[in-house]
Amino acid sequence: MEELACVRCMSSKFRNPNLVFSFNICGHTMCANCIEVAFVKGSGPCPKCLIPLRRNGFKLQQFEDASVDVEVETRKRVLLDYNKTEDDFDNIDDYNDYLVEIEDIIYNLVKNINVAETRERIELYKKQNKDIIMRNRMKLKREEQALDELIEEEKMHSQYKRDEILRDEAEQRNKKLRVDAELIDSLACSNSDAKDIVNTYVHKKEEIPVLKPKSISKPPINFTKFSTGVKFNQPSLSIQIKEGPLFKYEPVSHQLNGPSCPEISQLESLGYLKYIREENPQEIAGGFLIKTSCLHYIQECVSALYERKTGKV
Amino acid sequence: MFPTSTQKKNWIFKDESDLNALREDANQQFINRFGSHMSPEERNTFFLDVNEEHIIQKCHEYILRDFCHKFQPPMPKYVFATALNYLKRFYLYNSVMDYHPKEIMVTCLFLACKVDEFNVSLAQFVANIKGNQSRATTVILNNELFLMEQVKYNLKVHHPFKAIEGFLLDIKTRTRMSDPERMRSHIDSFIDKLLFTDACLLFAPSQLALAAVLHSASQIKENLDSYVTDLLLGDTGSEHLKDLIEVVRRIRILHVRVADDHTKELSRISKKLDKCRNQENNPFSDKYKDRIQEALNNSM
Repeated sequence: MEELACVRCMSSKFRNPNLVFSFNICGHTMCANCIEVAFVKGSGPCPKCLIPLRRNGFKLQQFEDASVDVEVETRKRVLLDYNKTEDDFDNIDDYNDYLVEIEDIIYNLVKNINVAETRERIELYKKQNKDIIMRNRMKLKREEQALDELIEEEKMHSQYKRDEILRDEAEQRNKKLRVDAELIDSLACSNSDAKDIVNTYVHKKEEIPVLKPKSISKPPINFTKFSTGVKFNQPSLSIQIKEGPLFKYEPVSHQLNGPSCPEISQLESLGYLKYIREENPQEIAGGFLIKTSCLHYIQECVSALYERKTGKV
Repeated sequence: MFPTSTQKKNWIFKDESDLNALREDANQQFINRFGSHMSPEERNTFFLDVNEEHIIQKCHEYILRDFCHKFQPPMPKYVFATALNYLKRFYLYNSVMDYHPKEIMVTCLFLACKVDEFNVSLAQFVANIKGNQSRATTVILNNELFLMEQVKYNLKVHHPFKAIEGFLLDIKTRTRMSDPERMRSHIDSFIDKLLFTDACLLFAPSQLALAAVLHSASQIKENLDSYVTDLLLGDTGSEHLKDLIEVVRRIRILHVRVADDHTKELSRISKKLDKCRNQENNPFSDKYKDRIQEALNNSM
């Protein structure tokens, strides 16, 4: 089998195992150094087939054969649009035809057969199935998110378990150390036979329970969501705009049950403001207007002046 | 706003007889509960009657006033007024014999401090109490939620103080009266007296304020009648004039009747109260301790 080698400098994995290979749409492999050199300007021709390439089109090569990588890449791109699922079809035959069509397209693209015609076919399909494509994309995205969440949760759980075990072990160790220290202490201070003391401590040491895997440990609840179910660190993609009647402002009406009261805009012209102090700069900065309090005082004295509950004669 | 408040809805009554009926009910209920084994004569001598309850309550209102006067840091008057209002509301539906006003009184004041945003901590508050302060702390904490329940969680109390400012402002603006501030000292003493009556359970704060203003105007030999009829009520309000005059008249009657001094009777009645009060609610009795212990056991 042909050795995997850079098309520009001809060095291979065999000669330099540290080489990092990438490939572009034409399927030719280049090493990272050569890409650096050949595509300083960001774009340029492929050294082998002279197809114009873009630098950011290079992908890390996963497989030994670059054509497999190209196929994977192409498949990914095509499936982005051809994202119907079995549920979108009425019967299994239609679905199978659809799958065959996808395979045809991918094969054509990879092998460079009728490329222009195939691309036209894709464009046509895109136009015809715009809605379904968008819908399925959203669905996929959501599924992925759910998966991510699951993985995250699992990670947290295992992390917690690991911590628990470590903690237990440390505790165990400390206990043993403590017993040892006690032994030394009593050997140094006590008057009884050293052998007896050692024996009692041997028993004590054995009494330290062997670590048992705990089954009941539950990880503490870690809040990753707001109470509305939106995650903390997530761009809120799917905000659903509620359709409803628009908010309409209606001026507040006070049931004063008393004589009429001047409006806030009339206070100055009626001369009420002459008798109260002015706001100081701090209050103005805080948005406080003395007018409001003034109105409040006036409202207080007219409100419920006609109160009838009290009016029993 | 008072017209939409719970104060107007739940705590303004038609007249004195309504209040007295409620108090009589509370008194009777207590006697029926604890005096079932006694003959009517025994009951009369053992329990307090409504009148005696009223005297006890009044005396404690004055004690509360003196307490507020000495309070450190100095306390605004509306806090005291709110506390007094809570106290009155509380004893409309409860008997003095059931819950001792000494305890309810401090709890009322503490709650009023919170509601009226007079910021003192419990420790600061209790530091003003002579006597056993830690016991006072427990009394307040034990009673606070109960008190809130008894006033139906209607905590906002509207007072005539703001309305008085409004009237003074209005008079300065719309009449030619010379130096209306002269009325202020009279107004203050009028309102201070009214606080100890049932006025706050019978009339709207604006009506109390108007009565205070009119009363003090007559004290300084000024006449505000034309202000009320022409400027305040205007053309649209003339049909309410009669009612308003009646209201002001009733408030002034209340004001005149305040004078009674009960200090002589107080010691006799308090002795009687010490005997007949509900021991389950007396924090120094064995019965109280038993009850608390039982409640603790049940909750465990």
